Order: sequence, then structure tokens, then C-alpha cells
Amino acid sequence: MRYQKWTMIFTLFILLALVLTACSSGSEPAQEASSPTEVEEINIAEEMEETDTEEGLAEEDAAVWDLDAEPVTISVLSFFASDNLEVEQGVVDAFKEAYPNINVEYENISFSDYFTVVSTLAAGNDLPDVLAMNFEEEARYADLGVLEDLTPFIEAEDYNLGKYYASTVRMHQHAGIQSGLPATFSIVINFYNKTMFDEAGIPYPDESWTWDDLLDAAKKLTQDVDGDGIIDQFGYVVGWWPNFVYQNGAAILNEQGRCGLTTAEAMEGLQWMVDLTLDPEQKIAPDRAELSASGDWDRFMAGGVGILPNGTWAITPFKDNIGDKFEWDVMPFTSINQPATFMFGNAYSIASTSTEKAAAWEFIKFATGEVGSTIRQAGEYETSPVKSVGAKDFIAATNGVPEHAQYFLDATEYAILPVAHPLWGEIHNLIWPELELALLGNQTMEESMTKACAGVDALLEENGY
Amino acid sequence: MLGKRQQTAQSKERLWAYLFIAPGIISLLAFNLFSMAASVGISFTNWRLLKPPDFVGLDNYRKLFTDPIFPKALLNTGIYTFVGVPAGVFIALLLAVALNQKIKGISFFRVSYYMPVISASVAIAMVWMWIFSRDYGVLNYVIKLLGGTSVDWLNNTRTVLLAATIVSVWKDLGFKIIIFLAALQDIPEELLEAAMIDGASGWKRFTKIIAPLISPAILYVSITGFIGAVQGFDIVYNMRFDHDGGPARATTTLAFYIWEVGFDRLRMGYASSLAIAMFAIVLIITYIQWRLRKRLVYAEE
Repeated sequence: MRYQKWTMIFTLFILLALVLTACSSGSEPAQEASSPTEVEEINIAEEMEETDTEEGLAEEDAAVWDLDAEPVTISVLSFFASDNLEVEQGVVDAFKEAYPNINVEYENISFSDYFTVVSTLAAGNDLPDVLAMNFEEEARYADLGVLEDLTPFIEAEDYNLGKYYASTVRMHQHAGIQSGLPATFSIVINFYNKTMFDEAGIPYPDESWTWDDLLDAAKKLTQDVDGDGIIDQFGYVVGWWPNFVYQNGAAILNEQGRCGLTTAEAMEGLQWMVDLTLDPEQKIAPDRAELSASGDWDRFMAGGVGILPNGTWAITPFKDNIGDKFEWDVMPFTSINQPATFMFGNAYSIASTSTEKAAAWEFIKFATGEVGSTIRQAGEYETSPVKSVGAKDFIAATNGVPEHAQYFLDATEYAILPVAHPLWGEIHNLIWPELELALLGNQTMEESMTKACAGVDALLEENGY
Repeated sequence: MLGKRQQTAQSKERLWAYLFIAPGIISLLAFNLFSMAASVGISFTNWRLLKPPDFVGLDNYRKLFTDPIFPKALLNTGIYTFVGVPAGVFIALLLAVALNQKIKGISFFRVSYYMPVISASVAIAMVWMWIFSRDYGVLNYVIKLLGGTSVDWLNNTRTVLLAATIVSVWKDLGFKIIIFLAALQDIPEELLEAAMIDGASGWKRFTKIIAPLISPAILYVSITGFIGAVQGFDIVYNMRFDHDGGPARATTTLAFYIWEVGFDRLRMGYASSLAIAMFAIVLIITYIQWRLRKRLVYAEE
């Protein structure tokens, strides 16, 4: 009797499984996997200089859209400025006013949950028409065929891409398509606690500072203030690990598209990261245990960190949370060997499943163009990639805090793009556990990177890259 | 022979019965059986969530044998389960016997032990992260008072899993205690009184009367405990500040790995085959426990 029951249940399962697979393979064919995105290093320095040219200023973009057509509704999902909701809502409202016959169902989700929501919606074939994308995830989504190629829309009306910094346009080309229009970009430089510098009698840093200057200052600032035997004030915080690879002229993926972390330069760079946190002689930054007690971001806001490498996105939260507890400013990103810091970017994309692509296209043009950009910039969300807005309004919007916001724009001269490989998440998950063993002092860097690269190369091989 | 009226009454009653069990059955079908069946199907595909799947046969199952992380996750789950469950059952039993005494303020203690069960795992993990903290933790403070050196519990690959196991045991104690208490209170007074009159010691009474009589409860608590532990996710996920199953994969349990492969990497096919492997493991452990009941549980066949 019992066996009969089990057989029945098992048969049921198999039947259901067959039904399910049959259903799913019957739907539209998978998009051809395209070649992997090249690891591109972009320098937008020259472009920043074009800022003042008149090119691309205030065009009549609405001309293409028939304002008397039947009203349509599009859905928009975004994570932009999610800790200051009225900013992006303002962009949406302005759009609705300019395009009365396009109704927008808009939703904002915090970045930490955003891509979980997007992948769930995608799985349910229920994606919104317009999606906010960040540069790295966009590579994966474009590769999986979720995003519409914007090239035909751009060509059809000869849309002026010249209004954006070209590098920010290129940043959103993945899997051989233009997968988004640039909405914002941000760059990592150093934030520093002015009050702490004052107390230690250290002059404020400027663009003349070399790594040695930073090291000297950070050493003086790294202290056990309350004398309980535990360091509670750090001069510096080691930022994102890929930075140490590029600062020493190495790359995570080499020209053959294979793991490049076993080169002497890459390992030396990453070893600096270990030494700055573990070596008692060189210690200026919290190690893994110290960071697990309190993260770098929280430590800085609590006044426990002198210099913190972080991005444009940190300005508003720091203003809100630090208040007048202490004064802070920014300084250029200081590299150990060669200048390298990361530039990140966000875009608006159209889902390839959208049924209202024409209206969606109008929305992304508007939201990334002059009007949308100006609203977002006034709300101090990152930096606008629109030339006529970015350079001018970005600094104006900061209202003098941080005083040297110009350094964010200057950093475009030496900023590079992080790896935007469709498998980046998985590549990272293979490297990080091994690197972590080195950061904990349990394993040499050579051992760590040899194992990490073996895993990464196998993954790339297996997936045909 | 039933009268017509009786028959209608009976069928009416039957209808009501179906109505009452319907929500349970429907949710079981929709959210459990359907998903289970679906994951069997998905495990034979390379579904990436964002792209229609292709059938890949047994590839995902073959990958289980070459993936270096899978055995690691199995081992971690094994330690988490086979240390955590027996320890949990044993401690819960001791506490239940203690909490079954008629002393003052007993309901306060009962409530205290049940509190963690209904608390959010995230909050629990946060509190314990501070207890285990290397520099500021209470645990290391005590260790140092006793003359030891502080341990970096959460960043040491040899201690972090133990720390997570301790938290999970602590969190689930209340549930186990409630079941044991109910069982203990079902033991007829006269049996214990008779034993006392016959001069049985406390230990004898426990091993010869109490333990056999509550053995069905012990079986129940062990089976649910094992099933829960093999699926252990929330504590290991939340006890690491960057949710990476680390350091260096030391807290990557099977359930964590399924989550990572499925929802982080969006490889639903392989994640499903991992889930099926987990299902098989749970099935085997439960079957073994079920067979053992004949020998260990009093009043079974």
C-alpha cells in the first residue's frame, strides 16, 4: 500500500515535470549568446572639457511623440535616490506633465532589494516597461536578452547622443547592443574627517598629496583613543579590493579574457591591502574582524575613520547623518602606484518584453535628458552624464558641502570602469573567499590567487568565454 | 440503512469537512507540491530565470560531483546538523524537566525560553554577532577574565560554524521545550508516585518511566530538528555582515548554497538539482529515524 502511494506520487512528479519543461521550451527562442563584453577602460577626461560647448542643449525631443494619441500606460521601476524618494518622483511627475497621454506607474525600490525584485519579475514574465539598471548588472541582463537594443530608436529619430559624455554612453553598451541611456554616474574618491585632521594637527590634504603623505597622516590618526588596548580610530579604510589590482597596473581579467590575478603585479597590489590591515608596522585600516564589529561606512559617520574611499552616492547620506558632529571634505583618490579609481554608472533601459516601447523610449529620453537630469542633480543624486547639466549643476547642488566637490569631476581623468562581465557575480564569488583567507592571514596571496584563478578559468571555460 | 435525511446531513457534513481542509490542501498543492514538482523539472534544464530554459538532461546532477563547493556545503551542513540537533534535544530535555517543577515564577522562565523562537532571526543574529565580537564581545570578555586569549569567533574558519550552531540551538530551544513540557505533563502522576513508593531514585524514574513515556515527543523533536537544521539558512546568512557564507565558505551550508546559486547567480537549474539532493538527504535521515523508532520509542509496535 505504502509503496503504491510512493509510486503514484513519483509518477505525478515526473508528469508535472514533463508538462513544465514542455511549456517552458515552447516559449520564444532564447536570444543568441553574444561575445563577452570587453573589459574596457574609459577615460572621459577630454570630454569633461567639452562641457561648455553648446552642442546638445535643450532640443525639442517631444516632437516625435504624438501628444493627441490614445493615452497609454507604462510601468517604471527604479532604485535611483531611494533614500530621498521625492527626487525621482519629481522626474516622473515632470514627465507626466510634459506627456499628458502617457500615464506612468512608477515604483522605487532600494538598491539592496532591487535586483532580487527584477529577477523575480523577469522570471514571472512580468517586467515593467522601463527599468533602472546599474552598469555591472546591466551586463548580465543584456547578455540574457532581457533588455531592448536602443539603437533602432536612436537611429529612427537621429537622437542626439552627443548631449551625454560619450564614455557614459559607451558604459551602457553590453552584449553588442545599446542597452540603456545613461542617467547618472559616480566616482570613488577619498572622503576625510576635517575635525580629526585638526585635532591631530595635520594640514588638509589636496591634489598634491602622494600615497606617502596619506600613509603618514593615516599612521598618526590610527590610535587607541580611550586606551583600552583596542584601536578605535583608523586613519584609512581599504576600499574595494579590485582597486588594489588596478593601482598596480594589473587587471582582473587579462587580454585573453582569463583570470589575471596570478601575475606578480596583481598579487603585490592585493598584498598591500593585507598589509595595511594586518601588518602591525603598516596598520592604518581596520581588518576583517574590526570591520565585522562595525563597517567602514558606519565608522566614518561615527567619526572613527580619518580617510574613507567612497563614491559620489555617499554625499547625501553623509550630509544627513553626520550633520554637525564633525566637518568633512573630499580629496583626490590617492593611489599607491598608478592612479586608478572606479567610475560607476546607472541607466534607464527598456525591457525587451515591453508592449509600449515607443512610450517607454519617450520616458527614458526625458528622464535621462536635460529636464530629468536637472531635477536629479538638484536632488544631489550622483552626477549627471548630460554635459550641459553635470559639470555645472553638480557642484552647485552640493551647496558647499563637501567644499571640494570639484575633485569628483577631476577624478574622471584617472577613473576606470570596473569589470562588466556577464558572469562577474560568479567570478567575484570564486575570488572573494580565497582573497578573504589572505586578508585573515590564513593563506598566502599566491596560494589564494592560484586557487581563485583556477576556479575562475574553469567557470569561463565551462560557459564558453 | 440510513434515512434520506440522515444521508443529506452526512453529505452536508462531508462538504463542510472539505471546506475546512481546503485552505490547507490548496496551499499544500500550490506552494509545496507544485513547487517541488517544478523544481524536479527545472533541475533538468539550464534555466537562468531571465531566459527560457533548455533541457540539459543530467548535466546538473553530474555537476554535483565536480563542483568543489558542494562537498564543502555538505560537510558544513553535516556539522551544523549532527552537532546542533543532538545538543539541542539534550539541552531542551534537561530544561524541560527543570521547567516542569512547581516552583515560583516558573511561567517567567517558560516565556523566556520561548522568546527566541518568535524573535526575528536577523535580530538574533545581530545580538549574537556582538556577543561573539572579537574586541567588544561578552564571550571574549569572559574568556579573558578566566585567563584565556580572545578568539575571533566570526572570522575564524574553525569557529564560525560552531558559533552559528550555538545560535541555532539557542533559538530553537523554546520550541523543543514546549513539546517536551506537554509530553511531561501527560505522564500520569500515579506512575511516578508508585515508582517513588517502590523506592526508585530520581535517575531511575527518569530513565525507566519519564524517558520511555515521552519518547514519541523526542522522536518528533529530533525529526523536525534534523529537517530544520539541514535547511539551515537564516542564521548563517545573517551572522556574516556581508552575507557571503564565509569566511572562505566556512558557513556555506547547503541551503545557503542553493540560495546563492539560484537567486544570486540566477542558475535555477543547478540550484534545483542541489535542492533535490537536499531533499534526498532529508528523506534518508528521516527514514532512518523512522525505522529506529521501533527500537527506541516505547509503545511502537
